[in-house]
Amino acid sequence: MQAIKDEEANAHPLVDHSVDLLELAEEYENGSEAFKKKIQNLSDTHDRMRRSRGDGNCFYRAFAFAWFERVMLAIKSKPELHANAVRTIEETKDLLLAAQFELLAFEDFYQVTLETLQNLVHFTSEELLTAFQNDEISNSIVMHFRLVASAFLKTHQDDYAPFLEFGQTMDEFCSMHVEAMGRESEEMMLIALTKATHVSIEVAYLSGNQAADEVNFLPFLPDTAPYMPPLVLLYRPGHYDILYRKSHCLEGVI
Amino acid sequence: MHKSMGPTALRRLMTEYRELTLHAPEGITAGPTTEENFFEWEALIEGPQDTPYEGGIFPATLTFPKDYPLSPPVMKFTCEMFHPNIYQDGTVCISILHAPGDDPNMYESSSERWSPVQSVEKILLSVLSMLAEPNDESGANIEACKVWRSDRKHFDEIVRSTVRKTLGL
Repeated sequence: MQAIKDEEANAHPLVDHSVDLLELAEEYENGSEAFKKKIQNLSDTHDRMRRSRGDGNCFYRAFAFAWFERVMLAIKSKPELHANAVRTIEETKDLLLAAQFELLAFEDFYQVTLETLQNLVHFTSEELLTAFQNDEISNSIVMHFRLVASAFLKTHQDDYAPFLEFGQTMDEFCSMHVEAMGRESEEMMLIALTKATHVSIEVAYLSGNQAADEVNFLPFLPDTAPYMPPLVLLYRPGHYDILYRKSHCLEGVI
Repeated sequence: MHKSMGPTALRRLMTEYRELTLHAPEGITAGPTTEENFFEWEALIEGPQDTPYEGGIFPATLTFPKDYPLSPPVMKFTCEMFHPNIYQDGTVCISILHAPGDDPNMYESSSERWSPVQSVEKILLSVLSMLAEPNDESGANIEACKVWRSDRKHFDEIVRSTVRKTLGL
């Protein structure tokens, strides 16, 4: 397992440059027709994608990058996105304390996340990518969002504990599946992070299912009215990447 | 600062050291071996009362990875220890020192795992309760497991003799 992870790490940066979506179809050149057809159809509405390393943290990293990039590209045209994001991240500190996390355990990750967000004011696209390719910064941000998802689930146990299997408690579930690096995410973590940050996500499910040529989109919505279009993630079994909708494809995406 | 010694890890270790100095839990002292290297710690653990380890003071080292606290440290007793969950070379094998998914000893799913919400203090407290209550389900020292299970009196005798050795008696 470790060998596979190391190999993956050497081959791919934590977050890569964006590429034309049709490049993805080339991966399936000799493979599933269903995949190829779906990518073709997806390319009518979405034109670019960005890979997040398949190290078990891909969802959190993709989510954080997509959000921060959205904010950065709109820093002049819609500065309120930045103000909202900063306020949201500042509020996560209260959520973590409410979930009984010790300040000592989360303050470093929180600080790095907040500072990176504040730096977006003068970041270029290249600098944002460099930050997310840096182990220290990137993993601290992943860790912060893991703790935020965990804190949300712990403070909303009544709503989510009934979905747990094998008589697991929410604390056990979070410690096994959310709070540790490299643990893969399930829908419950997507729901938690969406609601905790008030940022909506749309997940394009690209499966080898032959029944349909269209890609299924599943929305994850916060409890409040979303203040920006959803971040779009591409899901292939076991893995999340970032997807760009044509109409949202702002100038400056690299 | 050297790049391989990540600033997050160093900052966190300095905070934990400060906290441990200000509010040391009973029976535990721990800190960096030298001021120059915060990634190598020494700990002294007092044997818990009403256990055969009582009266002993057991030295151990904690070696932190450069991505601490994302990954856990390795803890190793540097004195002779006879205990079901301590390898013969002194390495401590309890669930809190392993991230979920890294499961050499098939820990119960409810047992506490490593994640950055844990800390040196929590590890050392777990080690104290491990000394008081060995877990023979996930043994590291098979001989100690066997004796602990079959002949508690003999187990206590062996432990007491190692306690005397650590005290230099």
